[in-house]
Amino acid sequence: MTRLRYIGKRLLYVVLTLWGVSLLLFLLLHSLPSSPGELMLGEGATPDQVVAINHTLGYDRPMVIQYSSYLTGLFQGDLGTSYLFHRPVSEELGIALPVTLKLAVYALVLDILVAVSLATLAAMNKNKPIDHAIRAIPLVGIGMPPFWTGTILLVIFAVGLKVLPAGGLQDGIVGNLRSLFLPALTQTIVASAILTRSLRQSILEVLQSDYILSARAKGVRGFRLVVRHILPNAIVPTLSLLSVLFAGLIGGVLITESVFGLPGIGSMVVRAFQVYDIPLVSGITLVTAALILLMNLLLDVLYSILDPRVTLR
Amino acid sequence: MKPKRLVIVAVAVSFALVTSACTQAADGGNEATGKNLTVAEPLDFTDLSPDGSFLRSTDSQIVTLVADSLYRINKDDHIEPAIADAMPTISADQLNWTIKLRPDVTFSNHTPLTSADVKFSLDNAKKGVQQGKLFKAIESIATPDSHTVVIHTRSKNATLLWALTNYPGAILPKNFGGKSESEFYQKPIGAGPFIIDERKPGTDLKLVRNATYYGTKAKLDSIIFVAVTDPNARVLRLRSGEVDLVDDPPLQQVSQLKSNSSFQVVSRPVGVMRLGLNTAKPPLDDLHVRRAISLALDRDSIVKAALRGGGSKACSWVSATFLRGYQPQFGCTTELVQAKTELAQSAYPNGTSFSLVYDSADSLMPLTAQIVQSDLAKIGISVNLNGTTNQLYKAALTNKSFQGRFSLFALPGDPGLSINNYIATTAEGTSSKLVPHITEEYQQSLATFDEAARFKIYDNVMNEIAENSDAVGLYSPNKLWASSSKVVGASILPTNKLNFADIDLAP
Repeated sequence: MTRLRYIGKRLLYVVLTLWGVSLLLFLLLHSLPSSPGELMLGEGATPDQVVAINHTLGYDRPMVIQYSSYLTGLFQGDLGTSYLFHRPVSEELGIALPVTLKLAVYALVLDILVAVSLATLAAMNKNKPIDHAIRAIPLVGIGMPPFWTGTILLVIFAVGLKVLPAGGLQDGIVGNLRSLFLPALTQTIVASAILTRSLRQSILEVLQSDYILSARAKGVRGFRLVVRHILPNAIVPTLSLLSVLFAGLIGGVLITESVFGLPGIGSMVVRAFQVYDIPLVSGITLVTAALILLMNLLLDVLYSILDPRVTLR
Repeated sequence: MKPKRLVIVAVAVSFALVTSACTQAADGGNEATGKNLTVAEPLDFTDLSPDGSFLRSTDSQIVTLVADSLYRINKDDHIEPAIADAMPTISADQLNWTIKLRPDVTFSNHTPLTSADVKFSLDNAKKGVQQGKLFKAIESIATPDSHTVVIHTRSKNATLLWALTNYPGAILPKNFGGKSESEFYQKPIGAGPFIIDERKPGTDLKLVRNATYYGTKAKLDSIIFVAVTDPNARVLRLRSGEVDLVDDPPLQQVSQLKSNSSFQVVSRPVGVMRLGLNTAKPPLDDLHVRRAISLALDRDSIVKAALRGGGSKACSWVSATFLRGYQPQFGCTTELVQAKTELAQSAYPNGTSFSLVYDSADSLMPLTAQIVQSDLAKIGISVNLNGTTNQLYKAALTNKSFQGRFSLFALPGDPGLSINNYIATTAEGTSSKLVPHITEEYQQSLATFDEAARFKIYDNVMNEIAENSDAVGLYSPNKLWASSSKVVGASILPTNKLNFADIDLAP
């Protein structure tokens, strides 16, 4: 199958999966015990006011009509209007999503840098104390809840040393880098252990291969050997892990954004759930699902480019 | 080149990221010049309409700073004129209220504030879903001239003056200054001490001093509100010096902050946390069971454990702060023997059980629920704790499917306003048989302009609610604000809002 046909087929699956997600979301959110009108207006509202709000929101129409109208809107790029912010969901996502993406990408870059460094060091020193330490210490990160890790980092770098901001998102590239560093590091501490262990194993396998022996026989050594021969081959099996990590990072921002006061989709979805903002919850979930699906597709295609032995089916 | 070079390169890139992140040591959110206060709030701002903001204290705080009402409650809990020039003149039949406006008031866009704006605002307030009931007594509003308003009420209403102090009655420009309602509320204007300068959805909101304010001008040049949902993170920002003031610091950190001279904490009891008992659901439809519950509760222990001493016990439906010397007649002390006697008279002499629903994410409810459970076990009432999400908790309240629940309600001012809420919500979401009787007493209080006589009616209503024990007062938690020591003059007003207009920053 040509790469283009493969991408087309996968994109079709993405659309079908998103349709499934939208249907599941719709059914779940509409099976909640109270109507949006009741929850939005609180106890002080009269039944008439509740009915009026539900009518305005179209909640009193048959569910099939509601869903088909929602789906039509989706195809036109209309994710609805947030009950909480009284603005189109797409506008809200336009503000929050870049923050979350910046954080996820920053964390992923840090994660890769940390994992490549530690995995290389560990593999090159197999079974030496440094190898044991590298394999053991990052596991502590997995065991620590992100809100705790984040708080500890804040206490050290923001309150103690005062070298980094204690939260929020500052403007500009440097401002972004500064204010997202601790949240990204929090995510990295949690996620890097998995990537480090996987990459170390992969490097060890590559080190046993004939072409490395051959490269060494030709006199290729050190940095050149690692960069040109070991890493390109060792990193391919870990690519599939990156998509899982990315999904984990997107999920992890729920807590990290709350601890660091970042205005991303993590903070937004918490607020949206609290006030029963169905359009906002649906919009965030759909966009997040689409992001993760597209990331998977991208990495699969990248996998086939980096390793010609892989066939796309 | 050795393989370790790769590690060195990776470490160097990481170091570059770290150092670029760490360049320019944290300078906080404060601007370089002027008196700029940075405040960390638990929520961002969603609805800045006077009525809609009722649901979130962060929103209503902004409304009170941007738009004044006709009257205000001063530091001593007395009403004084704000946009009004003097106290109202009430006709002999007590149905017409003539209010003169100050001649020098302009909106922050320099447009003069006139009686047409007042009429528009109060007519609009009447339509409010949340607090429109406060203004329902108003039948019509006449504007004989540009600085006189005559309010005609359907019936006598002694609490209307208090309603006119409230932010749902904030005065806005007529027809929203020519904008659509939703557009206007994105960045509302009024005649308050501050103006909204910038609003970044989801992040922060900046207020600047209103230079044309008719009253005493604010000392601060600007206030930046940032949303930090995590309470510990808010305090960390205070400790790092990035913010000057923190709303709702966690109770666990209050004593630490108080003992550190770099910080200060201001507090004031607000509202009443109540145990609502659904009188439509057995066994709570039995008056003796409810009374037994009220008598068995050890409110002092609850205050100590759940509030860590940061509040006071409450024995009435409305906070004692607003009741002016009310002496509770029932349920204020733990009477286990009497509680057992009450239970023996009920249909469940050998004990019973009920389910208590609460928001498990709330800072006070889970611990309070545990203490209630342990207190009631002493008289043979078993409480099934049902901690749930905020969303499902609200659903249980609106469906009235709960047996027992908690509620924290705070409406400052005349207790009549709160009693109106008790009636409107059919007694804490329950179907209390007491409501028709209290409605009669409430109507009587509305016609009683003599304050002492009116408060006597309120005392009676409080006693009746306590005796009926459908909404059992537990405690008044303190509203808390923590600040750095350079914040001068911060205090919590009787309206439960912080006095931002009086706050100054030490150099």
